[in-house]
Amino acid sequence: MDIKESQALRSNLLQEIGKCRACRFCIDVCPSYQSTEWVENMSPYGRLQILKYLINGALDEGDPLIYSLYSCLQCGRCDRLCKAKGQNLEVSKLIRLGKYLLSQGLVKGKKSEKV
Amino acid sequence: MDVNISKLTKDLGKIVGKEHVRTDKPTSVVYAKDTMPWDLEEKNIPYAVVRPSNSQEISKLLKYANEKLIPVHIHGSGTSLVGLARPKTEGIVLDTARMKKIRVYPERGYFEAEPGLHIVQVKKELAKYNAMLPLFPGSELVATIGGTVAVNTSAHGVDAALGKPGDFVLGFEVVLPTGEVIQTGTESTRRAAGIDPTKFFVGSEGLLGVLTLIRMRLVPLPYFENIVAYYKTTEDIIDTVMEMYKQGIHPPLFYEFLDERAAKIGFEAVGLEEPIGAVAMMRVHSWSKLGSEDKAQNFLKFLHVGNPIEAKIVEDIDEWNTIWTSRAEAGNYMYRLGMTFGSEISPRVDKLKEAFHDAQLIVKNLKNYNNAEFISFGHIGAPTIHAYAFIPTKDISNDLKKALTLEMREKSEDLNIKYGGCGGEWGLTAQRVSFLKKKYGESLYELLVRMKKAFDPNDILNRGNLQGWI
Amino acid sequence: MKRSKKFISEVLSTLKDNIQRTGDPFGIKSVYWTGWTKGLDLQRSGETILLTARMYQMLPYIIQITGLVASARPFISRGGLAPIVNVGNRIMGDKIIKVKSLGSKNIRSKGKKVLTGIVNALSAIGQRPAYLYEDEPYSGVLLYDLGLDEYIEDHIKKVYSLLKSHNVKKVIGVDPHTVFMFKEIYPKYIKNYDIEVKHYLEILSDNKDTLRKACKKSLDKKFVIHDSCYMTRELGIIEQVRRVSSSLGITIIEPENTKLDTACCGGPIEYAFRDLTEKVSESRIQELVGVSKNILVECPICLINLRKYEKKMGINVWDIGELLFGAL
Repeated sequence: MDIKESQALRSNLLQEIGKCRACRFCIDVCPSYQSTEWVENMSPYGRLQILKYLINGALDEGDPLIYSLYSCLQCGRCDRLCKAKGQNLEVSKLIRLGKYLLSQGLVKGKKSEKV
Repeated sequence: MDVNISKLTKDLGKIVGKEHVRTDKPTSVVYAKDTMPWDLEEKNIPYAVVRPSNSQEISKLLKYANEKLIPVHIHGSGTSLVGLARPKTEGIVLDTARMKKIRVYPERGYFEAEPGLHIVQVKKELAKYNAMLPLFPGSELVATIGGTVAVNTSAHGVDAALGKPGDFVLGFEVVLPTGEVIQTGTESTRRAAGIDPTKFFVGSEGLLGVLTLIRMRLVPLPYFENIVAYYKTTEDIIDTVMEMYKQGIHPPLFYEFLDERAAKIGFEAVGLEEPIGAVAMMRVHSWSKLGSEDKAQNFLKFLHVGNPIEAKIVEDIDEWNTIWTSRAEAGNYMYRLGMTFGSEISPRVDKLKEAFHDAQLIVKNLKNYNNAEFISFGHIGAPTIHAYAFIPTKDISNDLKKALTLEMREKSEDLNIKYGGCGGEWGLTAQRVSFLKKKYGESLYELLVRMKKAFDPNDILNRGNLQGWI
Repeated sequence: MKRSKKFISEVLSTLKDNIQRTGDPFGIKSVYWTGWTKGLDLQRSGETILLTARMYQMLPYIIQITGLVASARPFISRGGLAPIVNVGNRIMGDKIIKVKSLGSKNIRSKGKKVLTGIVNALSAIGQRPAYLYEDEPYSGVLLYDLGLDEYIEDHIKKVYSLLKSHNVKKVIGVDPHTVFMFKEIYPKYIKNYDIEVKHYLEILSDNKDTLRKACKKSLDKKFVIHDSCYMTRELGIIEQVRRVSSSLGITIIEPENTKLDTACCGGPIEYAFRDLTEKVSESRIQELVGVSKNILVECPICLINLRKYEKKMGINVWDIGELLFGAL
């Protein structure tokens, strides 16, 4: 990804995540939320917030963040309940795009560009 | 505040176990964020999120917090609509999510639930015993029983039909802000009379203690009949509500409406034909089948007073579910087109119409935005006016989001004051504090401050909410 | 959770290198995906092909490599994942294709039954798709799932021109992930994408009466169905497995959380977070086993993931392909 594409992806993600109203309707059906004794950053809502604050520069790509994002099973149960689905917010797809964004810094042999 | 994070982590780890203390920033951010549309600030982000599993751990935690003078903010679902959930100052977030046990005792006539259980899960458990949970938040998928009882909200429910959650609470186990674990109330289905401390903790908004066990009377599942009524204008619905109280008719358990605009959006969202004007949806209840049918027939006859275009009992459950869902979907689909800023006005019943008109004027004349659109839908029969200012764009700054939220809050609370009401759903602290002071005066507010100090001398629990910090 | 960053980084880099070098996610150069075709006489070319994308054939290697990785995980800081996976590759791939370990022998024969069952079922309704044998590509779904979009365009273009060079116009996929890739993702990267993509269950379901008549025996058994996340929520293929099952004489019982609400098997993160996957799988199996000990799946990942608990939780996991094999 060149700088322009990276900027575009980041601003697109921010815009999409902006649709999330933090209603948290999606957390209970998430398998990883259920299986970690209900830790909110292992829920779709949590992952979107983490992604947002990562792009904003408030968070860095450390172990907790990577664990949160990459433990998403992409199963799509969250999309069914999302209150923002009227705005076409596809939670699981955004989390996957978050993985795309992070892959910049994680795949070796690339000019590691910090998010 | 000077806090040594690694020492804090170690100390907290000794109390709840290492794996249940999280001090990484991603976790802190996720727990601090609430439903308010503006961003988190540094002061909102906690040092640590702690996840205890029982009252003993919470007791040790609060004793520690008092010793070190570190504030503790209680986290149930984080879905408060007046800003109760966001920590107002750096501290520790106490997440109740691991406390999810529930036990139903049909032979004792009650059930006991730990605070972290989501409402929908409580309902599921109670349904096995043919019992109803007497509270109806729209956020039931995630709202916790602890939070709902701590705010004492009936949400969708019309209070005059059934009551508020507190009316069904028999007793608590509470951890006081200073760390003592106490039991209140009774194990009988006859609630205590007199100065029973259970009452102090119902609706205490996390200021006076941490609820760790909630005992509620089992309410048998009633029979329901569902009614839908179509009107030319919202005014007709409001007239009907006012007349209902005037004539002393027992209100339906749910009495919802969609105004002309919301009805179009909501019905389109669920695939129904566009209604001519406003729509009202009611659910009547009785503990006898004949009773509920009779009640519904009588209510149907009564509805004529508002000149509906059509009013009927909906027999088919699928048809009813679709109509009922249009209310939730109206909100969701409005967000597709822009942003909404809400309010909760519960005026004196005979002033409902005037209050509604005033709410419309507020939205049209917002200082921070020109010509916002007025939309309303919700529990008009409660009576509650949810007046929304709809802005047809999402592209507004963080500061403007905050300013609009607070302007709607303040001006709509002025209507509560003007018309003798007080919100009935969302609690009285955090964003509501200026209303609290204005409506009841400084001496009542000072009384609350003294009461808080008596329970919580070091201001540990939910610091900032009673002060009205944002 | 500790060292997640280093670990994920190793996995992503290894995966990307393997696919770039060999087109295979394990980096195995030798052909391991054609053995099942013995005796089936599949044509080498045709406008319609059966595309396994190597998924069922990969299963023995997935089991072995993820096992290696899981046991190596505590030592990850000493040298990273790559050396372990590379050793694994060499053991699995080039040198010893005849993998003899117990766990993988079982899954290998199961995989063969599934694919044979599918071919027999299609044949019974008059469809004989071709098969690309050694040329068969991998769909690239792992690249997509893990957000390696940067490398997927290359892979997709290579696969597409391969299919075009074989004059393929229609693809019959056997697993939900492959069908999803070819149906939803490939068109995003290829202009004028003109390949028709179907899952075999769609075709069998459309011809369920013919299928029923062709069955040599009615299976007369009860199964609880575990729908695949991708099949239901991404592809909308929900009733087909039920119709096909009833044609075989099978009674399907719905568990809690079924069809569009189906719960995940845990498979997608098994490569990285074993403990978490175990909890997800066990929780799902608890839901299923309360209904029936016989579990029916329609996806190879669900298959190997839930099978792990056969002994522990007293269940039997079957792929619909195996039942087709048994009935025809």
